[in-house]
Amino acid sequence: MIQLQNATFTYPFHPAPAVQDVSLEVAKGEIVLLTGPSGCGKSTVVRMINGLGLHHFRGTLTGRVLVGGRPVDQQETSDISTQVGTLFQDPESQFFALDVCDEIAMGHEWRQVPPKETERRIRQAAKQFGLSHILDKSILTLSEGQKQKVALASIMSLGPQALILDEPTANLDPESTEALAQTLSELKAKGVAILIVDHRLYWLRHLADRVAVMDQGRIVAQGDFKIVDNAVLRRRYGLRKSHVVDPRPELLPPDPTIEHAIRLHNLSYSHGLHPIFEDANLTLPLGQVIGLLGPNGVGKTTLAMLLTGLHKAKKGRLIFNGKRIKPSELLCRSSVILQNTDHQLHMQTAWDEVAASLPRKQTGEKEKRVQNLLAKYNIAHLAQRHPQSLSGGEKQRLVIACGEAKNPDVLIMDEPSSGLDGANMRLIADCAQDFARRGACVLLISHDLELLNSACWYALTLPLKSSTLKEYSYDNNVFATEYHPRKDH
Amino acid sequence: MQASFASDSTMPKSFPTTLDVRTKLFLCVLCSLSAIILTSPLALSPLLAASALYALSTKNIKKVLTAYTVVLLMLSVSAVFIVLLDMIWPELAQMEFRLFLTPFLRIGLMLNVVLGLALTSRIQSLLMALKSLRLPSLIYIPASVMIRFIPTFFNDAKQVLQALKIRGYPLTLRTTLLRPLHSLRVLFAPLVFRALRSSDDLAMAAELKGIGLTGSIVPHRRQTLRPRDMMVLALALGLAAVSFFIQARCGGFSIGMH
Repeated sequence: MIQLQNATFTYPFHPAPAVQDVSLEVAKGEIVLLTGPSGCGKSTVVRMINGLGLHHFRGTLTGRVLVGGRPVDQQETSDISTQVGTLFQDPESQFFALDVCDEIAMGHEWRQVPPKETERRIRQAAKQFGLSHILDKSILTLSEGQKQKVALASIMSLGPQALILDEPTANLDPESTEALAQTLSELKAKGVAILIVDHRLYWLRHLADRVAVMDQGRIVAQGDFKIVDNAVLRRRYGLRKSHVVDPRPELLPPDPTIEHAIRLHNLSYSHGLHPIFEDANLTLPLGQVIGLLGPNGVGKTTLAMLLTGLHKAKKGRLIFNGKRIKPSELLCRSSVILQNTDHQLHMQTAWDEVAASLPRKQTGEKEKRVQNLLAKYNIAHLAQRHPQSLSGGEKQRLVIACGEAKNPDVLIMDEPSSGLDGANMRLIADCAQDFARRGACVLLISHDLELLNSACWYALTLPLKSSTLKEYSYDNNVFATEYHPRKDH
Repeated sequence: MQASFASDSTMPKSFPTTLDVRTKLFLCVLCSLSAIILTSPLALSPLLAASALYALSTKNIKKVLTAYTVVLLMLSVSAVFIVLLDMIWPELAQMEFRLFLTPFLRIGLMLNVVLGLALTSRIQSLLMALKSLRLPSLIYIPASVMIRFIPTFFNDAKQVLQALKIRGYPLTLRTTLLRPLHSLRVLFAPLVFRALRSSDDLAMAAELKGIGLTGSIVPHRRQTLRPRDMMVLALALGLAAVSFFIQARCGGFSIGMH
């Protein structure tokens, strides 16, 4: 169904090819996993297949890329899209309509599917991905995980003959990842050709027929899933683990009796008419890495925003080390790393970006501090590059370096390992633990089991249950969190 | 179904969302023609007042006011430059309030009707309406992408302002006056890059969705012209007639900047 024969692709104004001499085939009823370190050319392979590389980016292709037996240079992108559904790494970048229902419907409407059939397919896709309750919501108000589900529902409802999924689980909770694996397994049985580009390997163990490992634009290893069980190969190419144990049942709950902590009492917040938190209480101890867990769209990012005053709570008291403070005061002591790094980079060079984040009082050894931070996050060689010209992973590390430069008491990271390879994921995990050792409270919002396993000591699971202060004690399980002591801590 | 980017099942529906997209498009065309022909601020004022009510009735008051603030900022910057120009080269810049005001009233008028369209319309309905005018895909697809870009831009601006707070660069009057260049940089650098990326993403999304793939669209929800659309159209035509009457009384017609 999809064939690449000695394909080489060069972007306009780039001296060197992004992908070189790649040969890969995905047959009907087959699932192929394409993995490799960040920036190795995986997303370019996706663009070569769906026609965007040639027709949108206007790059140069040598060798042959065939979709449905026809070369992509003889087909328009819209023609290719009728055969191949593509899920982008950033799901928001593939939305055209403004609400969930319209987004799913749009492809059908342009393919002249009768209205009743379109309605049926919308309902079916919404049911399959758990979107029925948000069908009339604006796509811009959804959580990242919900956006990923909408993008998947939109593609799969069209019933394509082939699927290309770029990091399909980057924002999905583990349960949704399992459900996706089940769906893909069914599609595979129906004869759909599926190419999955992902850093996360564990969920594809029983799904992928073949694995191709890329590095520096070339395929360096190809075989069945067992090849990524090889620790030497994984280390050499910075891959993630091929087997991950779910750490969530073993993560400790934060101890509410601890003295040095951030406490939030009687938190109430509604989104429109829907209450997200009602009289909820929580404790976030300083000096610990706390995983903030819960299904997609439950309000994890919202909680981080409420803590730092970026959203205004209807009700609630914030206590920092026994002293009542305003959320905006906590924001001054915090570094918040949001999922979309583009919005957080303002300066002309990466160096300036970090330098601008240093506390104003810090004058001596400023240069050395910036240099050390850039080196710590493996971006010293990019010091003079414009921050917006960096790759996704590089931007992510730069924003975290800026966060560290501020020397905060609280570090909040929202899905920091999304789209990162194994080496960079471990760097983030080490950074989180390092912060905690220095006495900061690190709140890690993540569905990445590997990151949670490597970094977290404690976990808070949403949704929080309402409670009163009288009930607020460690023994009373007031947060409806699943409190299970973790054996290795 | 409500289609505004601010639409949410929990939010009350506004009057413009209940109008057919063709009505809203007609309002845009009528106002743009009026903006070209009318030169008197007095003649423009009835249309401007009605269009402001129309924009505010979308219940996206924050966004409408933000857009007004940007226009006022533009007005202030150009006023400063005109004063400077008047001081250096008095023959070139005529310091006449009326000449200066008219272009901004026209901008305000267009802003109101375009916001009314962009914030309350389903993008499919807009595509269908433009397509039904038998426009070539080279025109109706980019036009739809432009309208679709407005909500994305507002969303990006919101996130950039949030990021500024996080990074410790709050955009207050004090910081803007004390460090104007820094304030401009931290606001506009991410905004410009996001705008470029978003427009590129929208173009890619349109291609992958197969927009323009076939000769026609089969909508799963059809919109129809209802009595309220007829009422709005009649009111708009009536107001335009009043404006043209005022213009005729105030000194005739001419097409130009002033």
